Amino acid sequence: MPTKLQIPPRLARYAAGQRSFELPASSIDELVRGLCDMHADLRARLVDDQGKLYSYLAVIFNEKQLSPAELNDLRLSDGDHVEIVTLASGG
Amino acid sequence: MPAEDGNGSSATKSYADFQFQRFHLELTSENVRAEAVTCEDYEDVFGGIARGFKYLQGKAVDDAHDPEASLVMNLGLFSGTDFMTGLRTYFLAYSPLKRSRAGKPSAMWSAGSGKFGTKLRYLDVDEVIMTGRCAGPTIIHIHRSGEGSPPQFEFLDASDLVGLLINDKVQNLHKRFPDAHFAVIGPAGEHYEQVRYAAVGLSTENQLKSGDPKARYCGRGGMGGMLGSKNVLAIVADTPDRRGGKLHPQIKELNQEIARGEGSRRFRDAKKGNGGGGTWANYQALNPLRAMPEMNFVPTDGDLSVPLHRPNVEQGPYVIKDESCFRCGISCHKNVYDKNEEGKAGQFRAKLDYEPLNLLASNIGIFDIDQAMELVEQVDNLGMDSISCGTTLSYAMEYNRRNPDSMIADGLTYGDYAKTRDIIDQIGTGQLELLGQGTMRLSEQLNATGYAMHCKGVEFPAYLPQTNPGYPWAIAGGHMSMRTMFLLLLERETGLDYWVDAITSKGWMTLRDDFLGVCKFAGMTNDHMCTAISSLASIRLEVPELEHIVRRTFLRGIQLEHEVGFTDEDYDMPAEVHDEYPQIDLPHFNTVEFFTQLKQRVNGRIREMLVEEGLN
Repeated sequence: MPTKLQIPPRLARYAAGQRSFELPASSIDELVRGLCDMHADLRARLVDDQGKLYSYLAVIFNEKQLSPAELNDLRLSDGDHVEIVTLASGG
Repeated sequence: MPAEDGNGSSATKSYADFQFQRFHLELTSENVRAEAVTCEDYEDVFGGIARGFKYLQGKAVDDAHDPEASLVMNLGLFSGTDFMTGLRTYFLAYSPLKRSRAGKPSAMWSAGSGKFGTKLRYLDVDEVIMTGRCAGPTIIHIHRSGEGSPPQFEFLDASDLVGLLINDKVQNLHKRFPDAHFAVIGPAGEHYEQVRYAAVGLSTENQLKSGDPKARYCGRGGMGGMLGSKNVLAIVADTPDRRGGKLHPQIKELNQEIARGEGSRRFRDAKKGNGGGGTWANYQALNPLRAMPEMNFVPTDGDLSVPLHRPNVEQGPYVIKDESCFRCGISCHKNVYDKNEEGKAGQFRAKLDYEPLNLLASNIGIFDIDQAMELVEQVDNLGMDSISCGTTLSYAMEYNRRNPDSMIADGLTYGDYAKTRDIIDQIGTGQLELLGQGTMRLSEQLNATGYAMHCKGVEFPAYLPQTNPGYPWAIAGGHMSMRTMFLLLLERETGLDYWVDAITSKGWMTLRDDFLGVCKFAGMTNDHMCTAISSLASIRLEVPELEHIVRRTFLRGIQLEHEVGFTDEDYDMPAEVHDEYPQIDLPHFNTVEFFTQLKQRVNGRIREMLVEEGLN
């Protein structure tokens, strides 16, 4: 079973209205790359010129929020659940 | 909530089935008149700004502080109910701060949480209209003479409160009225003629129990000065708590969603269902992109603000606790304490939300967390709006940087902590009207408006105006009444059609909670709120109808602006906002040319919407 990936609701419009995906990947970078290959409009909204997730996006891996350092070392397995969330909040 | 008219059945109700209790206080004569008003639309049922804007129509004044000016204090439908975050009290008036270029005060509101609104609800006070001016410093004491009797309004001498800081006033009143909660002004509100951005402090349970300065604030628009201009230093809502009844199952479900669901996640702490860490996390989100205000809204291209990021503060001698408003499960308050000898929370230092921290630290060249906390608390306790105060300070510093031969405010410069403290104290105690008048008036006086970061006299919150051309159409605080400040960051759209749609079709939807009485951090969908309205009030409202009420409320706010002579020019942004800042790692699109076209299309579309709504 590939990795399950969910993106923030407001970005679904750049993925044909879809928020949830299942993609084969062994790392977060590969996962996000795969998603952006499927929906090119997401690329500019998820990653910078170096292909890294923007600072205002956080990754929840199997219900645990990862630090930027943990992101690099993470190896994904089938059935893992990854959620990309936005940190920016107002008020 | 507004009372039913007595039919009392559980069938679906319409607005005509409801009345609300409005109390007219003529303060000069201390006359109180109670009025039971049958609701003529859902705006009346819901309250807050929806009803308040209707009331303010036709009541414009030339001087906000004129005794005949109306000050509205009211609740929203869910204020004081079992609905989580239903805590909001609203103050509405023709503001001492918000103004047309022609000089007339413009209507706006400010909202706050704490427990004061809940006590008003327990007293069955839906709305209070204050006109006139008390003869001397006054406490308005609202209470019942006996169980089940109607609320009474008593006018008490407040001479012993004059000059006290916000928390000192609250703690003083708590000793006298142990069952009550309070709305108070600080020294800034008492000096309303010299301070146009005085706030109203609303007491919290945590504050009364701990003695710590943990009020919540109705900060924006100078509503503290409105109370001060009427010689009202405090309002006491004095009644025991009601015993809780059985919670409606759908309200219980919605409360669980608020506390743990996706809508409020960004405001919760990381350990609570993977929360985003609250608004303080904006530092980590925005700073790396240089998309965060520094030095009067011009980000530096360096790491000066990194010491203020929460993970770095946590490395210091501090304990950060996420605490909450009354019965709220989100716990968005990031309260910082000194770490004591046992390694636990010692003395309370400050509640750090993003906007006060940024505008009273990074944006004025302060990058030391200890100093930042002192300034945040100082402004709060003097009873001033952090956003307006911080932005006016940064304007003054920028003016001085550009005009070294004609400095103002004792030569105040970026990063001068000691002088900043002194200047804040002078502003808050009415000794420096030059800065107390706010950014708009100060910049006009100095004939240097290009970098005065405000629209319509209301200073920008801590989101770069260079990246948010929606600000001019906010009818109150820039980020809480027009939700466009994160669009460029998150959606990276720079087209005209997109931004016209964002402003005229979507951005004002955030106003919904400003009449329902709930906190925007609850993040409830319109479907959720229609369910809640049905559960609480037996009103069956479909989402399109709710959206229509929100839209109509926004347009009423715009109409109130037009009524005091706002023209297209009033919707301009400060000139330097349109310059290119290469260090900001976001598209530069808010050029003069873009904004000119945007303004023309948005104002044109809004005029059409006003006609469609019959509000022109």
